[in-house]
Amino acid sequence: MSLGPADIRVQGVTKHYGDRTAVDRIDLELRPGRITALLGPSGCGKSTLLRLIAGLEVPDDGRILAGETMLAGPATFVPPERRSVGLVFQDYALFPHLDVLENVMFGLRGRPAAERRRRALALLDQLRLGSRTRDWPHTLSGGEQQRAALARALARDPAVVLMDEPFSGLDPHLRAEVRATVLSALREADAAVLIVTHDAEDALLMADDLVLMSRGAVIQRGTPRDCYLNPISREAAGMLGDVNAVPTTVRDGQARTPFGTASAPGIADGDAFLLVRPETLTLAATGVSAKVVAARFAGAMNELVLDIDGLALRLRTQGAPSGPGTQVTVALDVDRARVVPSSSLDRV
Amino acid sequence: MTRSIPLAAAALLALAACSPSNTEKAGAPTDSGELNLYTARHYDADLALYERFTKETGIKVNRIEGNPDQLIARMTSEGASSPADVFLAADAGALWRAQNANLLQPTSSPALEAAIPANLREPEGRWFGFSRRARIVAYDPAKVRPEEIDTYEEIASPRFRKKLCVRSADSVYNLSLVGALIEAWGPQKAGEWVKGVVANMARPPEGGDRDQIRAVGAGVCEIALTNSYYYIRMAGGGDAKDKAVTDKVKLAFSSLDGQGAHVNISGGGVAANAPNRENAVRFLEFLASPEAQNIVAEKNSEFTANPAVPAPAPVDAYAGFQAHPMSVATYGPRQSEAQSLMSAAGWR
Amino acid sequence: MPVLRGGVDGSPLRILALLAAALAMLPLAGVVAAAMSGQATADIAARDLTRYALSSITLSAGVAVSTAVVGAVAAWLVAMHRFPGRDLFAWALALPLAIPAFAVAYAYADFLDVAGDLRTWTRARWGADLPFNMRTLGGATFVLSCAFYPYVYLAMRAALMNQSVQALEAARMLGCSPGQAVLRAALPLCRPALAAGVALAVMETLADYGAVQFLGVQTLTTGVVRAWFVYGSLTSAAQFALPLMAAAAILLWIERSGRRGRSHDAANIRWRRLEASPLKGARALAASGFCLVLLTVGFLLPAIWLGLAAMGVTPEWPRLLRASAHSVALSSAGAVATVFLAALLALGAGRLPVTARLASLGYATPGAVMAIGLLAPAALFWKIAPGGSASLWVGLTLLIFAYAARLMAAALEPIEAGLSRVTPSMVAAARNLGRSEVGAALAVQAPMARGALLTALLLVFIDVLKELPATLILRPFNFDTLAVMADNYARDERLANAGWPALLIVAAALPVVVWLTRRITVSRPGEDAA
Repeated sequence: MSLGPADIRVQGVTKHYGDRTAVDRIDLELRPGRITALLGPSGCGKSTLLRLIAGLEVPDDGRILAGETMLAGPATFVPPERRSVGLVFQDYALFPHLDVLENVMFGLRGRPAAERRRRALALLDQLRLGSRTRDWPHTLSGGEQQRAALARALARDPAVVLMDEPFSGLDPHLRAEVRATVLSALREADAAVLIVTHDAEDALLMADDLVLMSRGAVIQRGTPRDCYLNPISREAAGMLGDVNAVPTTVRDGQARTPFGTASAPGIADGDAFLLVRPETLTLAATGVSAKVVAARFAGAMNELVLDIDGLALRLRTQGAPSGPGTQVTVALDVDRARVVPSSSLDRV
Repeated sequence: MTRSIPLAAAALLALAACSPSNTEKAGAPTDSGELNLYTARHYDADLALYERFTKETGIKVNRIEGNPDQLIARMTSEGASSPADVFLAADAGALWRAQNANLLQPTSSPALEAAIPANLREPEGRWFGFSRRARIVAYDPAKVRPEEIDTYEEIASPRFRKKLCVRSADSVYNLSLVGALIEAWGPQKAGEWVKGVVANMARPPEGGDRDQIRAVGAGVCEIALTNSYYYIRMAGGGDAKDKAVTDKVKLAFSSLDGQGAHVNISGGGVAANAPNRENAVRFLEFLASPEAQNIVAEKNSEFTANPAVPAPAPVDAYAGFQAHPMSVATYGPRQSEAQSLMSAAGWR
Repeated sequence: MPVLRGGVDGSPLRILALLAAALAMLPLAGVVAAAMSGQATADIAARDLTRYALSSITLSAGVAVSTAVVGAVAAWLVAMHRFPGRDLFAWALALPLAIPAFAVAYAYADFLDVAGDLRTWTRARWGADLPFNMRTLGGATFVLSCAFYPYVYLAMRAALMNQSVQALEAARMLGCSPGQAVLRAALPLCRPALAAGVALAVMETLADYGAVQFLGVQTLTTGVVRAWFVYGSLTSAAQFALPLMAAAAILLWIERSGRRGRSHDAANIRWRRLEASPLKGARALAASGFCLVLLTVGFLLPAIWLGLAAMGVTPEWPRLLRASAHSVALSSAGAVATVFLAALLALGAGRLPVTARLASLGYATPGAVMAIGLLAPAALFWKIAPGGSASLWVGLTLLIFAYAARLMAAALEPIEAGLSRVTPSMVAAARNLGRSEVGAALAVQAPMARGALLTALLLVFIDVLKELPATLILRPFNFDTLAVMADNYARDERLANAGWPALLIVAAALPVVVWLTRRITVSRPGEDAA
């Protein structure tokens, strides 16, 4: 992890809409060359946070700093046009009355025409739009519009690039390709990047740092791997993928489960969940016996829904499918599962 | 919008180019060789009059034409900064309302006092009548003998039940006539007369004076109330159809109490805050001069106000009537009373 | 998502919008101020006032019903059928917009005069008079319907053309006959457009100055004028004006609700063009006949009458040309100023919806009432401006702003529609790319609404050409417009002389109207209206 100064620091920022608190005392740091993904369900306040950083909203409380410069804080507000922030909108917001090249050159006002043009063309080339520079935005495909919008945002060499649900409007088969192009352009730009998304795959694949957000607050942060493997709550685990929550009870740092005893360090005695990713359960010769309730063919994997003494669990296996009603034996490496308190309202 | 800025500039330039070049100086608050006229007269004849005045005196005439009461309202709004030098109106009542709003100043001019009979001007010289029109009866000689309508009472008599055409009570000419009748007879008898008129109406009031004359020609009614100049203009005008109407319709100068026909005036006075007061007085004196009297009588078929000026052709043929000596200054104060009488009787 | 909410009280666009709105509302404030000052002294009997109010209501209702029926039928024929002459009628039916209502009144009053040729002839031929008279409430309703049906026609035609064929097909699938499909699916879908068109027609009816006055029909405006002129009570006049302004406000509200509905049509993504169904035989003949009669009554007859009237009079070219130059220049300048202010208002209107509506009130305010309202702010201006009322430039400036106050709604409507194509994120993107609020308005909003701005310019241009009350009371010295000239002649009972100026107004407005309607014909949903 880079130890350089953060480009953007969000400190205790709060934003209300009427009675609703959209963003609740959030701290966040964005560093140059690193991609931060902000993941959360719709309405969790992540887009509002992005707009606060861009200067499109004014925080009710807290501060936003760029380096040592206060962007927003008590009695300070730098308007969006004077922030070194590039924003890619969810709907791309390309200007329909300007062609692709003009869209990209839009933010370069004040520089010599030839330089603006050179810069815009270079970015469009880099984003593989070199052949579409004189086309109208509405004639572009979704992926092309996305890349054009990114080129436009990058043109001003922003210190920070913010992307709002960058791939949500794209067909699934386009996503991987666009994601790769975007990722390489972002790496090239060496800016601090914040990607806001509700898609776990996007977040896991792109982020250097991952921030999980729920109901206006950050609930977990860390590397994607860390967040995936060590969720701090059932909710945090659910955001990054399917998870089985097995009810359990913690006593003296130990949780008893059907699969054996799991260690629960630092977790108070009481009701808890054992969080089990479906792919960590395996069909094995020895283990807990279960009945197959349903089996679904899902391409590379088969998904089984199992019943273990009234407890429903999902399991993914590459093995041969078993029909409903079959009795199977299931094993779990308890060290790959995590115990979390059943009510985890703690803030991070 | 960027396009419309040159457009606006072009329009404004065009405005400047097509306005008479010397109007920008109009009404500088000194005797600058100009005269600012607010006139409720809207006759083409007046243009010839102003031209003549300018030719003789070198004083340029700036004019705003309009409804008399709107002009009065405008002068009131302009207050002390009003550029108006002279206010002209085609009804004694309108002149009285201007006087009543303190918009006219007394003028003492031996020339005016000599030229204009006392009953045709305001006693203190706030306004003077410069042309006369009689409000009299047009009749169908095939159905009506002239002696049947030689008094105003007869217009309202049962002889003409459903046989009278008259315009609406909104006409200032009707208001002044009824005002004069109130002055002569008192409200009681004038009210009876108004009721008689309403009973005699062949149709609900509609159209202007000319329409009443034409209605007599078309056989809709036998008699109609009209201002003299409308008839005379039709009789002498270039329109063959109008001329044909006046061949079938005659004009009768009814008499009020045996003293002559009801006469209204066109007149004017010096504005209270006239910046060019001397020019204003000169203009009024010009209007009283034989030359101007002739122009108005000839071009607008009105009767001269200056008794020393004989009526020119074609008005001379009708000028031999006896005019009631009542002071025209009495009409105005009676107009609202007249309106109430007429409304009460159902004269729309 | 709100753009830049909070902390933007100092937003320049908002301040500009408030300024524009304040300017437009000055006359209305003037009326209210006049109504509250002094004593109401006019002695107008309750019976008369009731009669005035009744005829105002009857006139408005009559114009509403007849323009609704005629305009909707014409739009339905033209938009959904093929018959001989349809392509011509499609734009020609909007032509009455080029003729001032007062000129239509002159034409019909003269044409159907008791002593006119037509009636004289029918009396001689059949010994009986024609049963209708233009100088009545019915006549005024007829004249104003002729002049204003294009508002309904244009709104309805646009709505019918923009609606998806799917609604009609769905109706057919659910067992409606083609006729029932129109009645049960198409008409309800177009109801907002119908309401908006009718509201415009009625607002124009309320605001009409020349026509109703010329025809001598006594409405609430008569009450205003009597109170003001005969009884000399500006206070009473302003008080009679208040219900008229309330009516105008209600109509604006109706028109607004109509617009809300229309935006849903435009959002229809799966849009397919409605195929016009061909009419044959008697039906085709009836359709062509209906459109031809409408065109004749609404445009050809009045235009021909104006032409004939003008022919009988030697034109005074110097005066006419000067008045034409004044009219065209004033209309252009008025249009630019009005559109400029309306654009400012529209840019800030997202945050000031009520203000924008109030600023539009001048459009439906009767001319005589407007005159009262204009004088109060004008008085202030005259007193402080160098040169005062005598200065040409002061006069012109005042007049141009009076047009803006009066015609704000005419410009605001297309501009707001045009700006609705700019999404909040486009504006935010411009801000993010280094433009200030005003810079974003100039670089994104204005260019994107270019077509709408042009439409607004032309609409206001036509309206100013025909404008009377503000011009009459505020114009500077020696500054006659064509409309003023025509009005002068009409008041002097010289209708034939009014022919030339009226004809010149038509000549100036005609190409603009034709261009505008053709533009509406070719624009389709999803395409850039520019």
